[in-house]
Amino acid sequence: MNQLQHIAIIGASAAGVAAAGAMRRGGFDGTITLHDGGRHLPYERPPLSKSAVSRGLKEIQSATSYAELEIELLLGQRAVALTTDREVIFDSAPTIRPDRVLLATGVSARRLPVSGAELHNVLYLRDAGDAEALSAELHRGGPLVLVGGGFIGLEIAAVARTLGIDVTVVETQERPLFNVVGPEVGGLITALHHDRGVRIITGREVTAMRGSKAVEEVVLSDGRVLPAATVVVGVGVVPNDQLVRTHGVKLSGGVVVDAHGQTDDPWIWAAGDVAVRRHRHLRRVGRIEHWDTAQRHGATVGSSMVGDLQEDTAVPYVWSDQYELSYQAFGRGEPTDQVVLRDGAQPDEFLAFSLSEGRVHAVAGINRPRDVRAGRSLVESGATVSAEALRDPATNLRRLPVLGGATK
Amino acid sequence: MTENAVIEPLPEVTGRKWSRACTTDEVPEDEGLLLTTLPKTSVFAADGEFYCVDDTCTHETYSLAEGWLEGCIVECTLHNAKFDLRTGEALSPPAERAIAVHPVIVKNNVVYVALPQNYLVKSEQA
Ligand SMILES: Cc1cc2nc3c(=O)[nH]c(=O)nc-3n(C[C@H](O)[C@H](O)[C@H](O)COP(=O)(O)OP(=O)(O)OC[C@H]3O[C@@H](n4cnc5c(N)ncnc54)[C@H](O)[C@@H]3O)c2cc1C
Ligand code: FES
Repeated sequence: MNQLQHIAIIGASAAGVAAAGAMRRGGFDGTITLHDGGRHLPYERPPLSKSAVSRGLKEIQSATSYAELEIELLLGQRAVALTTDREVIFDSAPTIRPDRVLLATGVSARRLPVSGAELHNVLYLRDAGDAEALSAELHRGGPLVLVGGGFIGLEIAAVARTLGIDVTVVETQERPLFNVVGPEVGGLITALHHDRGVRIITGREVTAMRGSKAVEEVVLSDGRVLPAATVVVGVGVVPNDQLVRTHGVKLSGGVVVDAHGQTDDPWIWAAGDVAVRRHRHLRRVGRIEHWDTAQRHGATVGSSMVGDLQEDTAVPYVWSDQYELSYQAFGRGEPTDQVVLRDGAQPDEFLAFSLSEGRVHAVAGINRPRDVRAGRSLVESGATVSAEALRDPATNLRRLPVLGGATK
Repeated sequence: MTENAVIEPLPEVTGRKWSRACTTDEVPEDEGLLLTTLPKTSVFAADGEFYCVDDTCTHETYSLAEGWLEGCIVECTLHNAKFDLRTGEALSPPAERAIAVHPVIVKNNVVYVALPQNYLVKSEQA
C-alpha cells in the first residue's frame, strides 16, 4: 500500500472521524485530510433532538486527538465536485488530488413539497445550527406541530411536552413508526406519547402551511387547520450523494459499496448513512442510519482503505430517548416477521422480538437494557429459539435453551 | 462496605485506603456489583479474577455495573462503549477516556478494594 500517500475524507462526523482514526491506527503513515462543510469541531448528532437546553455540543473526540493522530481536520470546506481526473474541488479551498477518497457525507432532511414550507419557523433538524434554531423557538412557546412521527420527531415531541408546550404530531401512516418498528412496538410508543398529552393525528397529510411571515397554521388533507407557532418537519431523509451523481458510480438510494466500503470506482469509497450495503445481519440491502453503526462502518472502511480489509458485521444498534426513557434496538425486523412481545408489555417497559423461522432477527425494548443486549447475542448466533420462552418474563435470555443449530 | 477490620494487614498502597467491599459470592456472574462509594465504584468477577473500577461510563453517566460482561470486557448497555477491566482502557467508541481501576485483594472469600483517599466509603447499615 506504499503507493498511497494521501487519503481525503469528505464529511467529519460519526463515519468520517472513525475512519480517519482507523486509518492511522492501521499503520497508514501518509496524509489524512478530513474535510467538512460545517465549522464545529465534530460533534455527536443524537443529543441534538434530546434536550432543548443547550449544554453545548458534545465532541466526538477531544480537539487534541486529531493532532495526536496527525489527522488534518479541515472545517468550513465543502466539497462541490469529484472530477474524473481524481480531483476533489471545494467551494473555498484549493483543489486536492488524493489517492483515495471516502464519502462520509451522511444524509439530509427531505424537504416537504407543500406551499408555505418556506415560511419562517418551519424547521428541520439535522445539525447544530438547526438545533439552536429549534431550541430558541421552543423557548418562545407553542403550539408545536410535528410533521412526521419518526424517532427524531417523537424525541422533539417529548422535549416540548417536558417544557409544557402543546404538541401535535401529524403522521401519514396509520401509526407513528409503523414502517420503522412495526405496529406492535409503534403502538406502545404511540401510547407513551398519548399518555403524556401529545396529540397524534394519523392517516392525514399536511397539504399547506399558512402565515404572513412566520408560520401560523398547518392545513391537513381532511381540511382541518391546526394553529402553529413552530413546525418541525421530519419526513425522512435523502442521501448526500450529489458529489458522485454524474460520476457513473452505482447509486441506489445512496452510494452502493461492497463489504469493505469500496464503490465500483476503486478511487471512491463510502461509509456511514450515505452508504448502501449488504449487512450480514439484515435481510435487505440499504442504508443504515444509526450513530453506532456509522462509527463501526467508518472504522472498518477506514482500515480497508489502507489495506487491512475488514467488514462491519456488528448487529446494527439504535437508541432513542423518549422522556426519561431509552428505547433500544438491535437488528431490523421485516413486515413478514412474527413479533413476540414479552408478557406484561407496557409503554414504558417492554421487550419485543422479531422472529422468522424461529430465529431472532431483531430485538427492541424500553427500560430493559440487559435483555435487549442479550437479544443481540440471539441475533448474532442465529440459533432457533422458542417464542414461548421469549414471551416468558422469567426466562433468562442469556441462558436461553437453543432449539436448533446456528446456521448463520 | 466497611473500612478495614482486617485481621491480616493488607499491603500499603500510597494514597489509597483498603475497604472491605463484599464477599466473593455477592458478585454476580454477568454484571457488576455496585459499591456504596462516592464516586461510584463497582466490583466484577471475570475469568476467576476480581476487579474494581469506577462505575460511571466516561461517555455519559450510565452505570457499568448494569453493563454486559464478557471475559474482562464490560460493555456499557446504553451506547455500547467497551472498557477493559484490567486496565480501564476505553476499547470502543463512543467513549474515549479510560475508567479508573483500583487494586483488589481477595482473602477468605472477602473482596477488599484499595480506593483513593478522597473517595467516600459509606458503611453498610446491617
Ligand atoms: C437530530 C438527530 C438525532 C439522532 N439521534 C440518534 C439516536 O438517538 N441514535 C442513533 O443511533 N442515531 C441517531 N441519529 C442518526 C445518527 O446521527 C446518524 O446515523 C449519524 O450521524 C450518521 O453519521 P455519518 O457520519 O454517516 O453522517 P452525518 O452525521 O450526517 O455527517 C455527515 C457530515 O458530512 C458533511 N458533509 C456533507 N456533504 C458534504 C460536502 N459536500 N463537503 C463537506 N462536508 C460535507 C456534513 O456537514 C456532516 O458533518 C440522529 C440523527 C439526527 C440528525
Ligand atoms: S453512557 Fe456508556 S456508552 Fe454512552
